Formats: sequence, C-alpha cells, structure tokens
Amino acid sequence: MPIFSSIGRYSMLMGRVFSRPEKLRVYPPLIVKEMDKIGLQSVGIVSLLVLFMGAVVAIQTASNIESGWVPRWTIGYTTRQSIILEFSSTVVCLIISGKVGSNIASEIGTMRISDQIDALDIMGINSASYLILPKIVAAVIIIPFLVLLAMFVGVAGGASIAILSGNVSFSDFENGAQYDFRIWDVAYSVIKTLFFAFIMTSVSSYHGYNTHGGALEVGQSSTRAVVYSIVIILVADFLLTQLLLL
Amino acid sequence: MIQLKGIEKSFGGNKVLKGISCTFEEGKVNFIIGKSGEGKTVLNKCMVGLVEVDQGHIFYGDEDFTSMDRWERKKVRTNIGMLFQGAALFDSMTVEENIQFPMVMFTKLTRAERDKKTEEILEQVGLQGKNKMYPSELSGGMKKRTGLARAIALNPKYLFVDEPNSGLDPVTSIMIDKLVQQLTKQYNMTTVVISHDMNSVIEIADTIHFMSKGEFVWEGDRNSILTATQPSLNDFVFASQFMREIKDKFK
Repeated sequence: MPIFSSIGRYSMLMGRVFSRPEKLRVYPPLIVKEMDKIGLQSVGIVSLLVLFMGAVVAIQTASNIESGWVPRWTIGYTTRQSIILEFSSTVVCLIISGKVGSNIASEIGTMRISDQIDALDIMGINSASYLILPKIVAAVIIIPFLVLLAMFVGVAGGASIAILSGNVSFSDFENGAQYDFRIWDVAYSVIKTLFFAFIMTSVSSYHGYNTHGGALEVGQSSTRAVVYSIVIILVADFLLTQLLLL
Repeated sequence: MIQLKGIEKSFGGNKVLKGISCTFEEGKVNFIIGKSGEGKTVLNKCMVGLVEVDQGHIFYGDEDFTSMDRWERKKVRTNIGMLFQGAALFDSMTVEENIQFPMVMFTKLTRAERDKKTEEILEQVGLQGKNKMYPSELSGGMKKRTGLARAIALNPKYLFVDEPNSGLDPVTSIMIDKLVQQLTKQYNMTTVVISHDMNSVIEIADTIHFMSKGEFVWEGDRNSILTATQPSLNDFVFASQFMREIKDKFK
C-alpha cells in the first residue's frame, strides 16, 4: 500500500532529522533565518486575513440576531470564541501551509534536483537534519506567536466593523468579548498550533526531499506538500479537539 | 588510492554493475568513460556512498568504506571532494560562503583563517574578486571553478569529478581540465573523472577505464586508447568523423 510506504519513509526521514547533528552551533543562525522566513514574513498576510475574518464573523453574527431575546453582546462573545478557538489557529495555519509549505517543498525540491542535497551528503553532513530541523524548530517557535497576534487582530477587526457599522456599541462588544473568558481556550489554540506547525513543515519538507526529476516534479511536489499538509492539519484538528475539549 | 573489488548493483531485476574491480591510483587523473546509461554515474554514486552496493568492497586507502557505519564514513567523507555536473553550488550562499561551508562544518578555523584560505583557493581556480557573487551571477565555467574550489577546500585525498565539461565551450573545457589535472598533481589526490568527452580524455587522462554494459571492458592510458582493438571502445572513441580522421593520421 503506497500510504504505508509513505508513512514509513516519512518516519525514517524524521528519524534522520532528529538524529545527532554534525555541528550544533551552526543551527541557531539557521533557525533565526527560518523564523524570519516562516513567521515574520507572514505577519502581513495573516493580519490582513484575520482582520477580515473577524469582521465577517461579527457581521454574520449581527445579521443572525433578530430576536430581541438575544443580547447584542453576543456579537462580541461569538467573534471572540470563533477567532480564538478556530480561526486563529486552524485557519491561520492552513493559510501559512499554503504560503510556507509550497515554499519549503520547492526550496528543498530544487536543492534535490540540482544535486545540492547530494553535495551535503557527500561532505558527510546529515542533509535531512541540516535542511529540515531548523525549519521545524523555527515554525514551532514562531507560529504560536503569529496565532496570538491573529487572535488580537481578529477580535479587533470584528470589534471595529461591528461598532462602526452600528450593529453593536463598544461597551456591548467589550462585555461580550470578556464574557466567560477562559484562558484554557487560548492555551488549547496554541497547543493545536504547535502540532500544526510541525505538520506543515515536516510534511512539506518530506515532499521536497523526495522530489525526483526536474522542474515539473518540483512544482508537483510543491502542490502535494500543500494538499497533504492541509488534509493532515484538518484531521489533526479534529483529533486534538476531541482530545483537548471533551 | 581507491580500490574497487567485485562491485555489483541491481535496480529491481536490472543488473547495472556486474562485478567491477579496479584500482584508481594516487596523484593520477583516472577516467571512467562510456556511453550514457552504461552505469558510470551509478558506479560514481556507489563510490561516494550515495548508493549502497549489493556486493563487493570499496577501499579508500586500507579502509573498507562499504563496511563502515555512518559515523565512520563521515571521517572518510571529509577526505572526499566532488565536483558535480551542474556544480551543485548552494544557491543561497555566495562564492565565498560556498567555499567556506566545509571549513565551517568540519574545522575549527577562525574567520580570519577561513578568509585567508578562501583567498588562496580562489586564486588557484582563477576567481579572485568574485567572493561576494551568488551562483546565479556566475557563468557555467565560473560555477565549475567554484565547485572545484569548494571540493578542495579541506585538501581532500580523493576528488570525484562528474562530467566536468558538460555545457562548456571548448576553451573553458580545456581550462577546467587543466585545473583538475593541476590540482590532482599539486595535492597528490586520487582523482576519478566520469566523462564521455574524448577531448578531455586525450588532454589529461592518466588512466582510462572504459565501461560497457556495467563492466570495465578495457583499461589503458591515453596513448593506447587510439590503437586499442576492443570493438565497443572503438565504436565509442571513433564515433565522430573528426576522430576517425585523427585515427587515420595516427596510423
């Protein structure tokens, strides 16, 4: 079965990634560089998208509250819960998977087809560890901060639109946003993010590392990396939600 | 010295290498020639450990490379330099960073020492002043020279060169050939060149191993290759009208 073969090869690759590195002191600069590429360069796109997500959630909630029995502060409450529980972690990680995953797969895939990975191996360097470990570590460190930023921007976006459009007053939104706030919800979201960060970088790296052929195959690896990352993130989201919230 | 003893390699049911044995001598430019698809690249990959052999042994000096574990091989690998067909330079690094990369990974040289050594190597390969250029800014010949510079950065005992002249003009090809020859003599390396360029063979080969259907069917030097009678070697060497005319004049 190809799926079991892929799981086996993925596991073996991860075994190499997490084996003893050649020279530990070369890794911190690589991790910082990857944190910039994966995290800081995604701040703009993530902020823009969650800003509008927060706004859309607020407007949709407002448009669905027609009954006078449902208080207006529900808009703030719903926006906060949607953003914190799902949009900031899962949706943001899906977006980053598209951007970062394809980038990682094409970068490593190009190195593979142009013999750069063979060059590392011949020098006696563990190419899997040297190329992939900094990306995984960087993503696991930086993406939770992106998610925390997304939470703030998303709720702020929802608040701005809901208040400016006259659907809710500032104090009502504020009350709703603070109502029954549990820090565990934020922690749950951050915990999910750690898994998603690992999945998107390791799966994309796996597809890039196993590229064979030429430019066409690099493109195919890049597409596969994004598709598989997204599917696995969604499956992991379901499993983690079952595990952490029930 | 590199010794091959009974090297065999199959992919699926296809036997690509059929019991290859030979010795590549120190201080010499040893050529492996043959048509495309005869197993040259697979043999090269087996020798540098990118592909595991099914049978046989590869000796670097007295050390059996095939029976070593990853960490033992790592020590041998620091004595191996390789120039790839496409140079395989790291795109994200400058010429200087490419050359210094093995030094950073495997030596305790200070920044100043690395810079000094880099300047020396760049001078040897004729790339002075190109330190800060990226691979995308280099010509094909300059990429090959940078690749060679990186390959010799740790003063290796063994140098592998895969198709050194592919994609190069005749003048640059000869320049790269001469550089390989000069570095081989200067560092007393065991150099193995994989090629099907007869100009290179005639220009710098000390020993020649002709490969056909996964076997070495002829071995000799550049003087004897033109008078060899091995049929498949003759078909390969005298494939062009130009070479046939040379042969007639040689007679």
